[in-house]
Amino acid sequence: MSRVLVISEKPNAAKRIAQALDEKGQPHEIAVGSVTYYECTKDNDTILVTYALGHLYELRQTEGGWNYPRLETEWVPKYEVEKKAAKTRPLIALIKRLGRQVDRFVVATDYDIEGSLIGYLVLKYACEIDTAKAQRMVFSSLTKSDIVEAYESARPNLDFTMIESGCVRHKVDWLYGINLTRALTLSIRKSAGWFKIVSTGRVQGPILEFVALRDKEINLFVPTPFWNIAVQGIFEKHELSLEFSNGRIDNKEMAYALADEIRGKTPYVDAVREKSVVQSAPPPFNLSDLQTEAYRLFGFRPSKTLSVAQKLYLDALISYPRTSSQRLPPSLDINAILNGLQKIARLGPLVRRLLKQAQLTPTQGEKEDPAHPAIHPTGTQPTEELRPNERKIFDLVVHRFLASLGEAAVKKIVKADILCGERLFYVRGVKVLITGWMDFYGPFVLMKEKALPDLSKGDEIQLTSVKVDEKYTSPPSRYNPSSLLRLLERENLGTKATRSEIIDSLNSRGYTVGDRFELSALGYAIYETLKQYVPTVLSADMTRRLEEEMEEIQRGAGSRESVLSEAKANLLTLLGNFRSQEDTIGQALVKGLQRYWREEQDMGPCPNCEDGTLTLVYSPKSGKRFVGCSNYRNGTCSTTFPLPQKGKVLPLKKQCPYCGYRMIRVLSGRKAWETCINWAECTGRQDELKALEEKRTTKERTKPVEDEDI
Amino acid sequence: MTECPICFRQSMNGTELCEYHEEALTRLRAAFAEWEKALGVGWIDYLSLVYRTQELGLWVREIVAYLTSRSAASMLS
Repeated sequence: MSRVLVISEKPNAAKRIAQALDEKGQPHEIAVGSVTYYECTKDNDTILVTYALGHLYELRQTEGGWNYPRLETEWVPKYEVEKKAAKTRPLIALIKRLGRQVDRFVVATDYDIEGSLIGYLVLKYACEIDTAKAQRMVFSSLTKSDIVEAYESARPNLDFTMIESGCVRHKVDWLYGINLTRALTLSIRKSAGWFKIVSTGRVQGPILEFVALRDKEINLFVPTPFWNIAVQGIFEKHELSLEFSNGRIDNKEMAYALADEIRGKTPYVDAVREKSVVQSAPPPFNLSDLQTEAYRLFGFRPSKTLSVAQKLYLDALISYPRTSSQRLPPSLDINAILNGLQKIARLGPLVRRLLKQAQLTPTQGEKEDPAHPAIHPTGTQPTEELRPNERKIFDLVVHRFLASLGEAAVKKIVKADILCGERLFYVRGVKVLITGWMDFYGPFVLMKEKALPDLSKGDEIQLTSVKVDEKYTSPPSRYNPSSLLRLLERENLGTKATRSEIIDSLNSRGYTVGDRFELSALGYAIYETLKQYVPTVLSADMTRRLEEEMEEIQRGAGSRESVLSEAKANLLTLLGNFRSQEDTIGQALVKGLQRYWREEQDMGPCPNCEDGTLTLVYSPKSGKRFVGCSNYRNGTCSTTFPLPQKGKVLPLKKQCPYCGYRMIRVLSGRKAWETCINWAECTGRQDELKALEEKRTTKERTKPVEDEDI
Repeated sequence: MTECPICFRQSMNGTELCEYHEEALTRLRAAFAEWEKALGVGWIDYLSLVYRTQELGLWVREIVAYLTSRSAASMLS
């Protein structure tokens, strides 16, 4: 009989593990002050299951002072470096105590770099044991069967290569993040005496450059005109759109001459080509595929998708989401999962249809991950009603899993050549002949059929209209959270677990605005300064090389010491270079910040006086904000406009199409909307105001009656 | 050291504009040939037409506004 301490990553995971391991499925939850642990019994062993709250230990510089360079670090309890992490203090004390009462240690954190490091640090610093003696549970879902199997076949050792890699990643990120942020911030303080934290990091620098380069291309874009000939016709009551074979026309006169030439002619079918295209079922999701699809379908930011998927994983509804794999192992019991899913009423008929298929072999994608399979449902039914966002992600994962088991779809693509005089046009159509897997992906299929009548050579088409459309070339699209995530993955920057968080940080630090990653004046200030004085910080090459070296460590091929010492040496050179130009860099940043603040306040010229500028003003009496003329103080102009009092107001560089006043964007919580500063009087916005008023009235009407009202 | 009259960034050596607005001016000039070929318009009409397009980049728009106001000012003086 032995006593075992199992360390999981989160409270919910600890509860599930304890329930799965306890012979009766009813572990004792023991509270010690504000924290708890579980005690269960299995095969005469007493198992204590505890949890971390993410990382319980963090890096701290060994040398004092808010300065740079600081290269030496030590692991310390998180509450010593983060005021908000006070909850970790009693937890560490509990784990220390439990560690003294057991004779075996098992790490059951998530099986990835972060999870392995979390478990290792707890064993090393809280339990103070020889980590070589600890065991490792490896599982990809929190179902009872997976947990029991992982416990019974626990690996005899921790995954030290993963731990080494995680440790180096933490240290390198700390070194670059802390030192570069301090260098930038202190240069501003030295130059202007302000203490304004300006941050950058190993991965954030290259992302900033990607976004800045795209933003520059958009800001420098000059469109050129072109013309399309839009020809409509009818054949046997079917309306047809004829597409000019030469595409766009670059000259206005030529376009109109061509349209004149076509009018009055009778187009006829010169040739019809048909081909069948087999479209295999899609592979099951890896994390970035799931994030991309959730953005396309629901507009979820990648970080939101990850957080919802993580919740579903902790509820044992889906497998571990932080995976690169698009493959399902042959050992996965697909029938058991389907049998579980068919008990969910809304999925039952679809699953039963799939079960009738002769073969249930999933389509396998190209990407692999040695740690975890592709994301798939576990077959467990939700015990309580899922929240709307959880249901969306759950259904998406389920439908994709079902689709991956479906048969190939077959489409018929038709392309007809239409001659109109000597000019060649095309009409195209798409028809799905065999729906296959599309039935199982259901509402999420991205496919539009385009019906065509049966066309044969010589058929004549009756022209109904010939128009010339003037168009302009478009600038490249701005990044969205999904396309930026894909870019980072392609460039091998960051990890699947960290990318979405880094993307969000661009917005939260004010470097970009909105979901379309428009670079702010602050973003430009940082980018321009780094580009001019320390371009290495923006270099994707340096970060990519470090990523590759860390992957080598994980594969057991690289040395932690050499990677760390090389990173430190490169950082020292970079910081030395920075220090020698600190004054100039500080001045450049100060100018950029001044421009940023000016642009944040500047609402354009005053419409009522000659030399005034409209700016954002806070009333010293009420603290309320409004737009006022800069000549208000000298008493020559009293122009003001009211502003919404909640949320952040950002002036936009465009005018209201109705009244010509400056447009603003209001960001309040998760909502963002655009209006003009003259919104209260603007004739074009009265409908908006009316709708808002109605919404308010409805809200008032439906508000529950509270005690005070009674 | 002079400042760009449009955005107050540092001007490039030998020009009154910063690197962004200088590049915007270069691109504006380069695109004129295509507009001329497409519509047969002159420089002034080109500026007016291109300014009305939604797709025009912000810095190019600022350059067009700057050129237009400068030419208006020179006509007044």
